[in-house]
Amino acid sequence: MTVAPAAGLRGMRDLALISAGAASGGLAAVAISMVAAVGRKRGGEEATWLHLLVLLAAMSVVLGVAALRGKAPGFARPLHLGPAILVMGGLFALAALLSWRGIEWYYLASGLISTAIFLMITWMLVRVSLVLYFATSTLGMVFGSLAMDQIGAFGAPEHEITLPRALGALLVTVGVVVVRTGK
Amino acid sequence: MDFAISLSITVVLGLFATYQAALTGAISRERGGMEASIISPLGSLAIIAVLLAWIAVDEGETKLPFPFDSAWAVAAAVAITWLALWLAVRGLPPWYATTGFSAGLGLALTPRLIGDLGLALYFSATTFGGCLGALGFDHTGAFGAARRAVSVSRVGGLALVGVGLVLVRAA
Repeated sequence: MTVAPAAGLRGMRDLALISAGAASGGLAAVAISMVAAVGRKRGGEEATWLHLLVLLAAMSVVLGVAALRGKAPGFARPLHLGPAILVMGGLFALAALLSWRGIEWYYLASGLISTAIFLMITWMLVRVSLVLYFATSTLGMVFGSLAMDQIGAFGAPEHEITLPRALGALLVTVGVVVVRTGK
Repeated sequence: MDFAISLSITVVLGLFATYQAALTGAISRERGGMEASIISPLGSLAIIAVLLAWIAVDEGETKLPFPFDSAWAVAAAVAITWLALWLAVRGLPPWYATTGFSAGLGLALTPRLIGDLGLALYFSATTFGGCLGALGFDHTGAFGAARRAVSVSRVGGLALVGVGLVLVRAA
């Protein structure tokens, strides 16, 4: 009587992990689209600068808060202290705010999305195999990018989803799994 | 940019992404995943700061708002980012600082590459380059990873990615 619910829970857990992997890939497509959109307005170097500043500010906050809660950062002095990490994060945030003026506020999300992706990867890799992670994230990335192309997200040129393009995206995913698992 | 050049650059960037992943993995094993997630983008930022300094000197200003439009502010940013990178990798082999360099250059080229290729082809091409790099790195056991020889089935997997890439492009 208890076997079926346990199998159901495992199934739900696997489904959640697969969804998380696919979501991290899909989010990567969104973040890269945003960087490209800012790049078309400002230039590639300027867009990357802003993206990385937001990403580093957010990662520093996560690491700094973890340090204040007792998990010391694995850096040498002086970055082994939580407050030092938070000061570094504050500098990145200040530079991001100074660099962001003149573009739409939501483009700041590209760095926050990348932070979420880094955290998802860290969380997933201790729960699933590397192969499952690569397979699900590639699936999310290629199909997410097909969808972004279809709608011409953030002012990019539109590319229609066709059956051969979807098949190509699927082959890319299957190929990644074979490269990772092949004997 | 010419289509073939854009596609070639994207595949090479995918190759370098494998280098980044391998090095980030090595940093994670020594320092932790979160720490690696700071060192890698910090390396990218340090490279981008240098490129912005180059633009500021070459063109007189960057396209960032004040104060980062001027050469002196970007020069200060170069100094601060490289200092932060040095502090972050202290105690590790110095070349670990290079983990984010290729990603920084790749991101800076992204608007031009996606403009030429579209997003789906861009990701398919980086995936192809990444798989090609993974085969090479696994074969040599680079950066402490388990050694896995190149095999017919794994090359077949790479061919599948290549066919997928062609279909995404051709359709």
